[in-house]
Amino acid sequence: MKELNPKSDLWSKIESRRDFENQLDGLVKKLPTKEPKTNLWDQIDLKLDQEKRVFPIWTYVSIAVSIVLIMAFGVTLYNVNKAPIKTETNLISVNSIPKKNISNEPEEELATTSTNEELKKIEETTNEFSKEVNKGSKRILLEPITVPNKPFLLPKQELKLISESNIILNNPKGKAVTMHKVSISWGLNEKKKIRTQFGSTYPDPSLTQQLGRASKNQNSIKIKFNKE
Amino acid sequence: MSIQKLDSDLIQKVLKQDRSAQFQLFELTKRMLYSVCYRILVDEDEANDVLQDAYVEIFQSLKNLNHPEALISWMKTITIRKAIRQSKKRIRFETIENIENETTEDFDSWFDADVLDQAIQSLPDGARAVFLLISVEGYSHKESAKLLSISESTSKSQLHYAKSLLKARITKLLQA
Repeated sequence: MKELNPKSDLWSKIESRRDFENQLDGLVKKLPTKEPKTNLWDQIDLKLDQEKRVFPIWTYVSIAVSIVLIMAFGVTLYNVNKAPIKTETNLISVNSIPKKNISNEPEEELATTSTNEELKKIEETTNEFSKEVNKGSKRILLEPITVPNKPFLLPKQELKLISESNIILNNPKGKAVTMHKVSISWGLNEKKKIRTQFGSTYPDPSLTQQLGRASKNQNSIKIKFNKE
Repeated sequence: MSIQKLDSDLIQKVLKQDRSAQFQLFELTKRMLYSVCYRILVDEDEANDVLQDAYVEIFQSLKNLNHPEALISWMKTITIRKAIRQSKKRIRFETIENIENETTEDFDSWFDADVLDQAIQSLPDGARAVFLLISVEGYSHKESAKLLSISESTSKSQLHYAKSLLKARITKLLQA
């Protein structure tokens, strides 16, 4: 059998294959594979289920938070645009009088020390303020108004009967006899009485005058004279 | 070692979040991805944890994949990125000038894949990561530099250093 010669460059090719780099390039594709642990899929499966449940909650929460933030921003912006520009005014003083010093009874002596202290404080602050204001000006300062050291008294109030007084005539015998009683009222809830002299041809003239006054205006002050 | 093509029906089912299809994809790719993880980390427990996280991320973000035909390389990139993040604290790129040159001038021996695998595992973390990314997984120096947060020149020098070390380690392994 005839022998066949290989190509002349075969040995050089074998030599080159023996070269480290060439061996390396061929073997990196044939590196042995390794097996992961057997229960790895169970863990992945479990984690995928957990992640599925968690994901929508975060989505909804983020949507809700963003809506709330947008609404809050909108409301703030609306209020900023609507609010009028306010300039701060400094209060000079606050006058507060305690209730216990106000009384309707003039006979009682009230403790007025706290009220007087308040008034003195107001006087002092007013004077200081006016001095500060008139530092640069040439205006003449007026004397501060002094408030009498008396308690505040409120008048008696009676709505129905404004006043009632008895006219007393001096009797020559020394005995005080009341001849008339005068009543002054608004006359709103009073009954109108009409006396007639039954059977008489002439009516009493004083009665007609009273009726004329009472019937003019219902809300007018009514003065009634009664004989005793 | 690597799966170049996957059944298009399977990919479509996986995209529709079909759990049985996801399991099939896991079975087809788990050895490939675990090997990548293990070679970067050189620790079985860490590699399993990283692979678990990688698969969860893959199945969750699969709907965002624009090119289903690039599914395998996309899965590999996610896994490698996670493995590098895991090992980042201990990855250290040695200064080449300061280390002893262990290379032998003439390499005149044959070796197989198992010997190479052993030699790769004995490499320093930084050099091993660069060698695996460029020589094994086929990334460019630019991509490798981006993944490892290093410069391209560092990637090139580390690859040269890794090959020199491999030559020396393989020679020692063959002599033993």
